[in-house]
Amino acid sequence: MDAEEIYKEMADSIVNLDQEKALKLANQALNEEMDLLKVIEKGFGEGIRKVGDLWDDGEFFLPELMSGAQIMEKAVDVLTPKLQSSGSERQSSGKVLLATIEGDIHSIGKTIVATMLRANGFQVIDLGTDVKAEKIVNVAINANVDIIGVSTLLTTTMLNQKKVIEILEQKNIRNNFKVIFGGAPVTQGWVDECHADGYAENAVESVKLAKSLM
Amino acid sequence: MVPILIHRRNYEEITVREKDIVYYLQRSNKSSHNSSQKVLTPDLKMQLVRMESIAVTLYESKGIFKIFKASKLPFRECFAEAERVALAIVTIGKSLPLEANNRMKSGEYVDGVILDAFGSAGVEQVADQVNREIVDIVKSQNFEYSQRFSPGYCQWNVKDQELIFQNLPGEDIGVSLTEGYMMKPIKSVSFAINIGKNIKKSRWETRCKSCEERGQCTYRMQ
Repeated sequence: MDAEEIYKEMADSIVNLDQEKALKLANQALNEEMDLLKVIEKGFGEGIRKVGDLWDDGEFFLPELMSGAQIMEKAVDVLTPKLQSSGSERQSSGKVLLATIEGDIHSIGKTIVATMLRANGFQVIDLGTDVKAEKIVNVAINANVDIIGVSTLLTTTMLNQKKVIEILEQKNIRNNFKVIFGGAPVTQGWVDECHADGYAENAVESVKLAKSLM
Repeated sequence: MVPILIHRRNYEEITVREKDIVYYLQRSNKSSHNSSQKVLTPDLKMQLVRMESIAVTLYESKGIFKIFKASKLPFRECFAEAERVALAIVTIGKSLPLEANNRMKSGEYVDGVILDAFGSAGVEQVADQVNREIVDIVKSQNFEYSQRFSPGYCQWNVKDQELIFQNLPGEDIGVSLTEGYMMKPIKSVSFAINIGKNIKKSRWETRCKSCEERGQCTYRMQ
């Protein structure tokens, strides 16, 4: 079986949510000293992209989307020690800081977004919930992130999303970051009003948005 | 007319239907609901059964409601046609949301999102039960009643969470309000029902039929 066929099997193992097969193929890749970066990108990475499409098309339910991400994560965990010891690094799609804004304690949706971003090659810093705008900006500066993602569920706490952009503007560093919003009350109108760079309705959309901004 | 008492009790029997869980686990967007979603696979059905057995041990369901004379509440457009207004708060407690978050943190994403869906569907079941109790009282008095509606929906300002919590002791069932008008524990619901002789002619709550958020809204009209 040539490498291309193995990549396809890897992608299929993610799409079929077959963890046993995915881990077996990851170990096979190690044993056969395959190009691990290609294994991730052309194999398992292709699989998680297809899983995202299936969710987007309404073919997959949320647990199936998350199962794909979970299997992807485990397969990459198998490959990571060898990748690190060989000095190779998975090419990062970008660095994203995520937080649920001050006053809001909802975390599940943000965690789903973080999981899908990681599965698609982004480095993610998740600051958790009820995070002050000032802290979000400070961590973004110190960690030199590309994208700041701010989530909220209520119209009342939504106002604090705007604060993140105001602080960036006050510090004259607005152009150093892309700022994206998420959460049920967020609309394109709100994004325009805040001069944010975009919003996503769900985790798969957020991956597409993040990629488009990089 | 109806007794003006505070009703509070625990709700130990919460039965969540599969279709309610599916609602929370399928893809939706703000403009439409995909009604042609595929059916659950046997694997996913088994996972739902497994997580349901955990969810039922974590529900700590409680509810509280009171029926007020509308004139005793601050004027709100949404109460305008009501002679009486029932206010209610319900919750499934903090154990289930905590467990869902813990599962997500430890990388058990599938379990986490399914438990979270059981939380959302569960608290709506408690709201349904309290809703029925209110309706039973109202019907016995030959009054009409609206569907339930909540702050933040149907053009009722979310800040009126405060109005509900000022008039009902949420702390009696372990529910508090944050400065951002968010309820803790997060799987809690507050709502109002209008009561009166001509409520069905006005139907405040059905005006959300024309709301741009209706595809997303829990209380959307069919």
